Amino acid sequence: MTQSARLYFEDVELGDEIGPAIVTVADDQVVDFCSLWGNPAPNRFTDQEQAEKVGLSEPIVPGIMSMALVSRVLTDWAGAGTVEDLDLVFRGTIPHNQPLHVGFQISDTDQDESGNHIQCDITMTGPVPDRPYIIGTARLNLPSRG
Amino acid sequence: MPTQIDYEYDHSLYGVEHESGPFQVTKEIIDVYASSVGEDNPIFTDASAARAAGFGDQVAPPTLCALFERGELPDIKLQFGRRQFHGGQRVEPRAAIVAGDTLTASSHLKDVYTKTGRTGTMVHVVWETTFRNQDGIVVADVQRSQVVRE
Repeated sequence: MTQSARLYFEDVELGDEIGPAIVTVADDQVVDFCSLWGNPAPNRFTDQEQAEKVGLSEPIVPGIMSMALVSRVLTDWAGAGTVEDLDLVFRGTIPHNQPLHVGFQISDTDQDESGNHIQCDITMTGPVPDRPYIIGTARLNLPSRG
Repeated sequence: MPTQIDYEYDHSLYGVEHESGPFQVTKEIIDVYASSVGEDNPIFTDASAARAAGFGDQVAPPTLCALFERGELPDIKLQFGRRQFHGGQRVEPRAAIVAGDTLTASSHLKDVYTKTGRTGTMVHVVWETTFRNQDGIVVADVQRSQVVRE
């Protein structure tokens, strides 16, 4: 992909911690997302009663929407067109209207003929940092100043 | 080779591709997707900016194709559990998806495996989907892990 990144490979070092970025998902954002996804409201993601029917205490953010949020935070940081691989595990239900903390740590860097790659460990947490909603990894391809 | 597990399911699904689509990637879909997740990079919101950056049209954020990935897939007839949730997702963008593209998807059962933790046994059902555009170019590979628990 064509790069439009604002971050260069040389700007990043192994072990760097990025963030956390704080994002919040409002009710109407989830409704909009679900309408695209072919899962229009009301459903367990948008409606209290529907959520309780499936054993949830409240409506939750869909997994693929939380992935889109992580992707957005990555591209906010590194630039569009840099994400090569995003691999997430959904470990907890994500509430609406609560601050979500998305952080990265650089776990590997390498350069080869295919580009300038960095690997990040990812977490998304709520108010309790040691109980992540999401863990995962991302691989990005950054431009080089060289 | 699929992982061996103790629970019955339909192994004949391995090696079978399930086609779905076409999925039209419109400017409206990209706009709503971008706004719903707060994506404001101009290449995802403005066709002129995307063209100036070398793309053919307004670009879809890299995980947008996962919207189309939940198409109808076969029931694997797993003889375990009743409750399901979305356990994980992997997206590997291969090429830009832009407004006006028409995607098709080819999905297959990748693996079914178990994990046992504090809350008991969970079975992970992993589907892998390859998206191609109207020119036959692979634009993304997506894996979805659905978890079934007791």
